[in-house]
Amino acid sequence: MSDDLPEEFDLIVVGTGFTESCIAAAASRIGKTVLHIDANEYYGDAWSSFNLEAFNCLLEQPNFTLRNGSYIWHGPESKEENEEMEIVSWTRETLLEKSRRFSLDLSPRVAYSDGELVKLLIKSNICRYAEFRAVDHVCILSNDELVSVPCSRSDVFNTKMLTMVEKRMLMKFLTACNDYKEEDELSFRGRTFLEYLQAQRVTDKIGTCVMQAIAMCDANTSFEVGMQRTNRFLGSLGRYGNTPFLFPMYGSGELPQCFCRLCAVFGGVYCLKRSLDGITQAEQSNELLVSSAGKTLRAKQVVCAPAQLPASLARHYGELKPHISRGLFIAASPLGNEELNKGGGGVILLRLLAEEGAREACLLQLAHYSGTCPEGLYIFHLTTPAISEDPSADLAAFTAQLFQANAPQILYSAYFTLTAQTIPKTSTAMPICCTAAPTYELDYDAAIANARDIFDKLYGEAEEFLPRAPDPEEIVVEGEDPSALREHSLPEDLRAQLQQMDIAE
Amino acid sequence: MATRKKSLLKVIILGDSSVGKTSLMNQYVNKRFSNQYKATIGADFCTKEVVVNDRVVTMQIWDTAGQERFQSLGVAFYRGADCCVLVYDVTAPNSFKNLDSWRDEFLIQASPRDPEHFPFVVLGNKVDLDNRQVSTRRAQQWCQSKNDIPYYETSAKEGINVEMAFQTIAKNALEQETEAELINDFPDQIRLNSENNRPGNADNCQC
Repeated sequence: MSDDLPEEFDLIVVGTGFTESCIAAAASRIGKTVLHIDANEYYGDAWSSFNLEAFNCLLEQPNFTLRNGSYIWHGPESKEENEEMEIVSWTRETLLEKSRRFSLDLSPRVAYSDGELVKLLIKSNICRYAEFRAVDHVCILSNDELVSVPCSRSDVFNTKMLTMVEKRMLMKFLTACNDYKEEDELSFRGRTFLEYLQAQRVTDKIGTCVMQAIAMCDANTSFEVGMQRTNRFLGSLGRYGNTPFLFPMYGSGELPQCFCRLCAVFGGVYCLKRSLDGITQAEQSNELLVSSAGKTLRAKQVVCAPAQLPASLARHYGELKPHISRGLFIAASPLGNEELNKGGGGVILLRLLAEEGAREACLLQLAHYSGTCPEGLYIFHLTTPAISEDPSADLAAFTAQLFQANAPQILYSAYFTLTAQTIPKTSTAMPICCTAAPTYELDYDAAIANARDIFDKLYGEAEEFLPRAPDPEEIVVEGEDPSALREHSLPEDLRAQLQQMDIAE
Repeated sequence: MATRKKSLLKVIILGDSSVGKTSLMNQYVNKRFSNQYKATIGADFCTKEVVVNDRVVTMQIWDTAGQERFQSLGVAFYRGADCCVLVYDVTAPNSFKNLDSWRDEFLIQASPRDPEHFPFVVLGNKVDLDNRQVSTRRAQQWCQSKNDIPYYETSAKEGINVEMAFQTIAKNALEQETEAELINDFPDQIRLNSENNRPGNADNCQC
């Protein structure tokens, strides 16, 4: 393949993770020429999804982004070994046969239906490249059992977990939060959300629902932040599904690719398997000379994912430290009772606490309708901020809670650490912008804020960040008769007439 | 679990750079040909309503957006394709040779349920040019060897065979659906946009 890559760009983006892809799309969208490269042969970097085989390979070969990887098969190796069992069950062989039906996320996320990601996708029209599934249940653990937190009026009415008095209490509390305005409740300024909750004299059960699932707070969360989070939850209800959350079909790794496609549609050039080897400032100009795959490219600006920095630069960004500890489990049965998993549902979100609330983890259960695993299987994603180089030890306190009572039939388990650099605040010596590695968050708020910041830094706040992209029908190619492209909006009979005229011509 | 018949067909067009993928799409949907697009800019996807076996379906034809140029099409592009159109340039033998790898790449990335019978259509484009290098026979042989893929020789520029080729594409995409009584693999998917998807269910309003 001849390498007829152009040599000059306005912007070179290195790494195709979520944040970098956002920036690439935004720059391309305002007419900048963009080259987007990635050292890997896949899109997404630390935000990618993999099939089972590729995922295992990744765990075996640590890289800058991922380390401490390990996996274990729990089921039998093949059918022969399993003859005496009557129920047809999954074996290592059958799982690997269906390897491509898996889409295993490194950084699984959900999106609030009215959150930053959804708003950005709609505003930019990138939503046309993505499909979602509603998260079926937001749960809490109550006496070692998964219980669905009531999200809608009918949920509250139907739930068996609350008494009549509690139902009224919960509705009253949530209505008060929904009606809350900044000037209200001055007395709780500077105090914690927990104190506010306690002052409302709610029962323990309701307290747990609110703290763990709705406001997602800990004992130290301030009143204001708790209120904000509660309202983010409430504001995202009733939009798409039964819970406020959406999960991208085929996994979170799809999202960076949606942004990349927009970038490409607006002229961005894509090259996977191409790394940034070095970078220098050009003499007598502000341009940067970027060496990549034996070529020197010129760019006005460079944005780079920290894990894809060349070694010569990486040292300026500090050491790679464990950032997030991840566990990934494939099981033949879901967590929770049948009620939680009926009708092909089974996408469940659960926030777990340990050490008296000092540590937390997020569990995401995915079923086959999310497009991430074969029918009959379930994936559990566990994520917690790393406290050591041992992801399985970091998660032990949470797996113990999950898999103790009513343990699901786990066939495969994997652990790994996602790293991040300790970027010093003064890295201005470097002529390039570095994005942040994925942080511990439910939605994409921090990543989007990071992308927007860098975009503003590059192009100034006057340029809009990802304005609406026109629909294909609205694009008129130079040299074409624009009226022809408007055929779509014509009624059937006129369109036919126009076509007749075309033929006559 | 709803088993809904699809009324939207996703068709993706694959092939080497500059074999005329975007032009074919534009000729079919907009009845226009332009020499202007060198590399694909602004080409995303087009939709067109077609009538197949007395049924109106919306065909959504997806272009590569130029990401094929350096072999950098991501797996997301292939998701949920109902038919794959392989295009080569009859004046460029290499683009013909590469059909094999494009077909393989599709089967790997899209991993359709029934790869043996997945509907492909092959188009030999640019037959309006004089310097033809790949013979019809050679192309037909290749198509036969791959489970009888329908083959058309087209000219996006002159509009030759384009309509007919896409009619076959729509028909085959739909036929495979009825044959296997194919269901929508993943019902209840959500597409985001500002107006739709607001459930009329008053019950779901904010607490």
